[in-house]
Amino acid sequence: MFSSWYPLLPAGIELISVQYPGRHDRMTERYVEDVSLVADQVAAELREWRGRPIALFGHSVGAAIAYEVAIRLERDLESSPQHLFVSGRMAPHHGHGKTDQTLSDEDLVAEVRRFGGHGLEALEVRDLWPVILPPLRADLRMADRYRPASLKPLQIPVTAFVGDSDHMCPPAELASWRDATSVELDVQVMHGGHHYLTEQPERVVEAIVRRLCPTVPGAGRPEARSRGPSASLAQEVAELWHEHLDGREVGVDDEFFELGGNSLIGMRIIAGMAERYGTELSVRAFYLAQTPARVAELIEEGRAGS
Amino acid sequence: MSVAPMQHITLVCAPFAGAGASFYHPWRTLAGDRVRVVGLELAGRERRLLEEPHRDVHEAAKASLESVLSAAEDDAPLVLFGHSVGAVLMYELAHLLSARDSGRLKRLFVSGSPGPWTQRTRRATGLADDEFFARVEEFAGFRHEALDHPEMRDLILPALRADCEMHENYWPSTDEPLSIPIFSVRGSTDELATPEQAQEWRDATVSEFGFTEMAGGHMYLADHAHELLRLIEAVSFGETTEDRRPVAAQSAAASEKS
Repeated sequence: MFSSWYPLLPAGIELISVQYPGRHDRMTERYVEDVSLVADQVAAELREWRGRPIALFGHSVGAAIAYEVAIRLERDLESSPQHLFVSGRMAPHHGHGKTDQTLSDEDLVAEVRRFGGHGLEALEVRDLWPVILPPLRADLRMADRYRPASLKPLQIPVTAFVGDSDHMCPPAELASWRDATSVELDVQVMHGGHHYLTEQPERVVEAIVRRLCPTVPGAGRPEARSRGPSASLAQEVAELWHEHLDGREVGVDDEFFELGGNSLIGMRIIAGMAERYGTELSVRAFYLAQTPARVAELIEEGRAGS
Repeated sequence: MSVAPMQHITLVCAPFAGAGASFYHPWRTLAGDRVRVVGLELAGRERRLLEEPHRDVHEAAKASLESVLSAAEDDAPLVLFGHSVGAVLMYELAHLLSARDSGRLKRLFVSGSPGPWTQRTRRATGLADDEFFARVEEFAGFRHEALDHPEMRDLILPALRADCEMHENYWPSTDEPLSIPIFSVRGSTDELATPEQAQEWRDATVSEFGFTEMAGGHMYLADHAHELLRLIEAVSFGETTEDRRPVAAQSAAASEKS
């Protein structure tokens, strides 16, 4: 579904597509009809990326999965994602319409055609129905069954996309995602129905990239970051910490609490940085950033006014 | 068969309500060469800020077991220290470690705490924020500067509340005593742990029990870290009672007269 996105993304953003069990290269596996189980698996796979910036995108039932993955990743400071993008689905705590599970194959195909989406041509070939319909039914069951385990808001920003004529997810209902985040919610209404996404991937990808790389296209490149202004800013920040930490040597990747930092020292450092760089860094953001290098990134983001 | 003399110990320290392992960071340099200090980092604070803090001592102890075991990796004898809620947490951990039969656990130091079977009667759990902070300040006998900063207060509040709740609802997992020695310390004017209460820990061990006081209130250890560490070192290495008691007892007696 996301193959059209590859050529649209800048060099600094790597696309990883989640394949649910029971189809394509996971054809031999049984379907998983529990969002939590899928989310557990995805979060476990993402451990490899611990410490590197991650953003999540999910469409329809994928939005519920992406949300659940975000919850799991947030439990570990090093893995916390930057941003959650959701599409074509109301917030987890909001009720979700039930699909009729008793639909015959013909009726189910008719419904799918009504909502549009990718792979429609395959449905023209009746012989392919035994391959296409079972995973689809499994996904619908998974979507119907899903209930969020916790209503605690995420600590990351959320951007919600929807087609303006999506019958399954009225655009007005998207504001429900406001309660799912303690940071900010941005709602983007696109032209189209439930599967607006397949019709205009460029617009969606552009919106995503704009949120992840606020300054210049390609600015999200990890290599660029370490060669660019951040490197010397990180050094400066480390110098400032060194002054507040009893003259201890501070490397740009050293962790604040390991260096002997505590809440009082933290507050003094934050005040010192606000004075020098003019950016308001919250105590929470400082605690989560942990190293001079990451604090330098936050300062730069603040300067870029994102 | 000769036994090699103990070269050094690993001292794992559990903090009091709301605090993090950073409280014990200065202890690393204050402690002598023979004592390696490791602070126990609980969920909901400092590096583990995003995690839900534990509201139950037994869950917290189970969750901390692996990190205590990995702190003890270097084969040195393991000594546990806990202050206030940290004391009962370390007591439960001591039981868990004994059940694992690692044999490395040598001694438990408890600080600022009545025995495990004595419940806290003064409660802060469930109070609204301002009243809660006032009550906690009353208990601790001191006000942490960080609490004057609204953002810091909000950051600390969940862990502080959870710690108070777990302390106030604590009941020991077992009536069986430990088989390792316990040493109990209190501040001479601590209202949360009277001398009698601090000595209730005697019943929690079938091995040796020791007790002493230092000058100060419930948070005496913030001002007497160096003396406390000297005490821990002396007791752990079996240096004589006479060496250390006069120092502690004198300062306690002096402060009571003044």
